[in-house]
Amino acid sequence: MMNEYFTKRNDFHVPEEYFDELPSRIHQRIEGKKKTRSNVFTSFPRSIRLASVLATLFLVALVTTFLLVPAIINRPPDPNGTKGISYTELTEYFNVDESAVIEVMTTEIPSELLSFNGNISPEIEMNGEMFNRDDLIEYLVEKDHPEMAVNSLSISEIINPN
Amino acid sequence: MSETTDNQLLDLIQQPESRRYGFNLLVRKYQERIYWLVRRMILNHDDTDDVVQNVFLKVWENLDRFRGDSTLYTWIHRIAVNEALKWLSRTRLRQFVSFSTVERKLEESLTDDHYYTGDEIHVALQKAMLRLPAKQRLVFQMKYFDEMKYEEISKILGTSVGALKASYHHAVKKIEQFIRDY
Repeated sequence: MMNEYFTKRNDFHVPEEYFDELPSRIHQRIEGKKKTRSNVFTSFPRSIRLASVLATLFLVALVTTFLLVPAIINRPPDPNGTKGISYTELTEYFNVDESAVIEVMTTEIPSELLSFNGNISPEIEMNGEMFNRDDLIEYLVEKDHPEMAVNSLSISEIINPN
Repeated sequence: MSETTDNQLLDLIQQPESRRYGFNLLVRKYQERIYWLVRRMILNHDDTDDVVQNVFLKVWENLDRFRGDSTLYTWIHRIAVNEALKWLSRTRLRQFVSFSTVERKLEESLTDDHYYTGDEIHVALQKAMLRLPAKQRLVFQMKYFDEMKYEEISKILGTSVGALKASYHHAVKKIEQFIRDY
């Protein structure tokens, strides 16, 4: 059916001799990385390097304990946080892949509870609780993007804040 | 001249005196496949070039950790997939504040890219693919353009064959609908 609309062809191009030159450019990058590793610091005696590393770690611990932690704890809430964002924008942003939803459903949910014939069941019972597609998407989003958990609200709470 | 096999490459790489030569052969063997896999995800040549170099840099740095529990082909593809997805995630995070998605930016760059010469219908196909979740887009590209078997894709992505078939089926439906509405 796809081939009714277009032919399978490659419309992307590369600069001339790109693939001829790529291996040597990769080697240059490898050599460049080796050189930045062996720098002035490694020319000092080992005892001095060790002492400077320990001193740096101590300073970082000091700054963290007395400056950064209180600053983070006392930071006011962000008035422009993500609470007011629509569900459409959120799901578009997180862009959950349906194959991941299917993967969870077929590996984490007993097969006798699924009616999978190419369509996902609207609601499934697991361990005495009902789960729907939104619950699974929320689980996947928070599993894969814990840094994006939205004020620990579920997606359904965001849709219906009352 | 016949292509060097993966076992021959690994033998060369394991010897310190031929490691560089073996790695050079490895790059020449896989560079185009890896390049096109990444290019179809990222679209722009310069960004793709960057990611592809990162891929082979990672391959070089981790050659000693390659245990042979997958083929060299699968291992390198897995690194490439991870690097491409990481690039998309990093770019997405940079766009987060404005809510203008990575995909919209890529779409805009497509029409300005002088290394892309697709006609209107093929531009529509690229736009349709950009609307798929990143992993689903990868599945579609590997199946439709690279004509890989589901079992091969499964080894690279770590997703079951059943889930891949469903994902591809959904991807085709979404793309067809987008083209009809375009």
